[in-house]
Amino acid sequence: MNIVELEHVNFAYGKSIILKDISLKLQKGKVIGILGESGVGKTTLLSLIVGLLKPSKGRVILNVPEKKIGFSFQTPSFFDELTVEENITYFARLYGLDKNQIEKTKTFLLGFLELNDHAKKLAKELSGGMKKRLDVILSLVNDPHLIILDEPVGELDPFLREKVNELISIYRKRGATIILTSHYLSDLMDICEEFIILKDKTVIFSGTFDNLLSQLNVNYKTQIVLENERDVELFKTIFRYNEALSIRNKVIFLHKDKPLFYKLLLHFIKKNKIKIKEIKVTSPDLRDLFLDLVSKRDTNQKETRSENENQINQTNQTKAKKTILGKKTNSEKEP
Amino acid sequence: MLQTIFEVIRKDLRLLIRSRSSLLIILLTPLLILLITGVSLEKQTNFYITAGVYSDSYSHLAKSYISNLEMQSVNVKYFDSEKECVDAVKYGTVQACIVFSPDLRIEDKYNGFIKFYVDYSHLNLAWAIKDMLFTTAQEETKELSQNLIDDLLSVVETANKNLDLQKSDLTNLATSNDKLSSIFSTISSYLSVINPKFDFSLLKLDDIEDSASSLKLKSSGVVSLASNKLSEVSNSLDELKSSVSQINDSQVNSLILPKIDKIKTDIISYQQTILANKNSIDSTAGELQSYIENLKNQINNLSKILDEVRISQDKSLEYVSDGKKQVANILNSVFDLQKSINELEKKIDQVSVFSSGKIAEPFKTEIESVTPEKHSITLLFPTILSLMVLFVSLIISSTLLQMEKQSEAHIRNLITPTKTLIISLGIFLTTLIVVILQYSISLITVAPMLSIKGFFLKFLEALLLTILSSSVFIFIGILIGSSSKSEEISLILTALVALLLIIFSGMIYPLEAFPRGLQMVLKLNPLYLTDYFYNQIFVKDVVLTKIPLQILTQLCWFVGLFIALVLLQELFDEKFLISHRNKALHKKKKRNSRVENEETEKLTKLLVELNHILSPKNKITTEEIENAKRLYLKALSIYQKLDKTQKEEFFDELNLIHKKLSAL
Repeated sequence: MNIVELEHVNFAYGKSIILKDISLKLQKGKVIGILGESGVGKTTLLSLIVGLLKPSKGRVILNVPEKKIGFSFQTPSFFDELTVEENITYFARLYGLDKNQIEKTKTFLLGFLELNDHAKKLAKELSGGMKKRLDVILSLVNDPHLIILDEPVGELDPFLREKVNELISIYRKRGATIILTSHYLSDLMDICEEFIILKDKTVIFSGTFDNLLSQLNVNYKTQIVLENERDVELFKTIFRYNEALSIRNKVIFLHKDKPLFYKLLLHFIKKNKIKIKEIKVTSPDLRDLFLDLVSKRDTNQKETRSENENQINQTNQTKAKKTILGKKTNSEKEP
Repeated sequence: MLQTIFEVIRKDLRLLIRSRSSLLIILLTPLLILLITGVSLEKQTNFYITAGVYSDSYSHLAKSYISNLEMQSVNVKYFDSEKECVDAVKYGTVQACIVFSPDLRIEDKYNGFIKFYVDYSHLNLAWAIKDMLFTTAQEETKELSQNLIDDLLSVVETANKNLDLQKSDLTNLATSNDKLSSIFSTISSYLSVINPKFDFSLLKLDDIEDSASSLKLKSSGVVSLASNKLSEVSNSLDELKSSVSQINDSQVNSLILPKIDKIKTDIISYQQTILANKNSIDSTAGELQSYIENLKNQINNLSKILDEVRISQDKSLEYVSDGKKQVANILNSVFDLQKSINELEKKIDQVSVFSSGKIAEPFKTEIESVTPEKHSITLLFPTILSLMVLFVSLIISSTLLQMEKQSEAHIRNLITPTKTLIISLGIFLTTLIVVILQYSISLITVAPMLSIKGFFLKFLEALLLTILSSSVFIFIGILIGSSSKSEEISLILTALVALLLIIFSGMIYPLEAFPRGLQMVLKLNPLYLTDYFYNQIFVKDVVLTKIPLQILTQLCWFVGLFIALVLLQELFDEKFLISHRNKALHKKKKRNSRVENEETEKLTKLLVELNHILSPKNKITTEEIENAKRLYLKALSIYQKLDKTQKEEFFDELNLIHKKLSAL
């Protein structure tokens, strides 16, 4: 069952279009991560989902009771002049919780996120990380079925990030649906089951990590560390490597198959007498795929890559034929 | 430093100007206030007041005064008793009460008065009313005094004229008097001629004695004759007696005989008497004779004298006749004078007032206050309290709401199921608590100076009305806070509303300065009503049951604003719109898809089971294949019932299962 449905949703501030033609169906009980560059509209999308904003076109359908929505936005949302406990009690009351429920929830959440010692402090006296934790607590105080978290682990140290992630898992096990954004893609990779990627004011991907791999047609990530930084330019001219992922003397390639690619690569390196420090082959992670997807390269670039590969294949086949004729093995012709 | 200050000013002005609403309010506010106030007050400086009047009986004078008032655009209302009239001033139905003494008139013995009852608690109006009414009374008095003096002067003038006319009559009278005097002098001289002396010795009484002797002679003959006759009678009686005695009637004898005896006795006495008188007669007769003779002579003399008197008398008569004529003339003149004097008297009688005090002040005018003597702070206190309630209610409620809206936590409020209306009601109650606290502190602090009777009861009464009035202002503040986008707009609007309420509440300029039609509307102003309530309770000692209409009006404001707040909160609450819309859509979808949801669940279950059966890890038996086929057909039949969108959901999965089954 879909907990949230967006049907051709558009949103604009005056004449400035923020989001266009967003259609999504988010299933119940999943942890969904929203990715995108800064300013692409992630927070706007979350606001539309939770009902804080009204779409200019289209509609948003929420299949969850009003009492059971929790959210935490980038800017902490509580009363500075109330203490931590008072904030929790106040908002819990607004959700209709009774005294016992409030005590129980408060004890658990304050303890879990290690704010017990600061319970009596005024909210304005808390550090940035504590404020964020309080905000997360307030989003969970009503045991929600739908939890919206916008950068929940920003300003938190790795230990507390881990705690927050753990908390998300706990709520997921309770059956809640969690939609979150984060710049820590590794965290998203660990906890999210599905991803939504925004680019150019619209959704360019929605699905699992495997779906993403399929869409991008990649299985591997090859990382080459060059001795000479100037040699990076050579790769640019020929391979159209993944500029978004490459840094200084590190050249990164995302590709689908191994053998032919390495063959060509090694051939190129040898031909140009490029000095290599290190070559590493791994599986691409979410960061790699995300960067690849939202890089300055457009879809044409992906097609070019496919074309290159096709060309490589054709060249390969020709060579294979020659090889066959020249009695070379079949393995060399497989794309 | 100056540059820094200048920079700050520039920044602030930019912020204000860039907000269109605040710019509009800043520019338009003074114009709006000037326009509204200018149009409402018009050009004239008169007050449109209503004055109550009462008298046991309205005299012409009283009616004249009332019509003068009406000519000055004072609305006059008649009452049936003095108390009703005074109470009307207390309750504000009329601005002053005028009581005339019964049958007001100007007379020396009549003590008339005109009494004015004014409400001094309306300090800005009381003196104006007093001036207006008192001036009218004074003008009326002046006119009356003038009339009285005119009457007196005209009487004097008439008297003067008539006296001028009568002067000639008086002159004639004097002349006539002189003439009369000379006439009487003449009469006197003629009368002095008449000598009325007479010598009585000439009458000679001795002579009369002589005369009498002659008479004696004659009388003696008469006497003898009489005596003889009497003797004869006596003899006859003797004969009679003997005759009677011969009768043998005892009765007759007893009756007649005594009588005969008596007669006889009488005759004898008469005979004696006659004899006695005979002598005197004789003497007298002799005298008489002589006297008569003398008398004859004197009579002759007297006759001569009388002739002379007669002549004088005739002459005197003539002159007396002349004198009579003159006297008659004088009498006529006197009559004329008398008539004039009578007329003058009449006119003077018509002048009813002779007392100088009465002329200077035909009747008394007094001014009384409807409120008992109070300290000036008592008169000011209702206004001060009203303003405090207004500002505290407006500012705190609008500020709290703005603080709520501007705070980061507001977004969280919107997400909770708690409606914005509940939060607004919370703000309402918070502000109300603050107002009640301030009211209590103010009243308890000022109480000793106010000298309020029955303090506790008044405290409670005023508390109830404070809650009512404050609620109205708080609702206004919440509406302002809800509709404002920023704090500065909220504050500016609050100040504007407060200013308008104050201007049109009668605190600065009396409401009576506005046209009557507008006055009726302005009396609906909640601030005016608040001031009115406190005035009634603390200054005029009026109980709440006496002012039901005003309380009802304020209640209507309360209810109306509350309804407006409820309705407008829906507009201001965007989230409500969104969720409402979504809920509506969801309900519609839910209605249509209630059946479909059950179906999708069934289908999901079937697909899960099929996936389990067809899992490559499991070795599948023939029975399981048959089961899988049966389940697939069932799934397919459910799939057919779904809508297009839902079908898309399940299409891939079903397709995959179909392929797997085909492969088997």
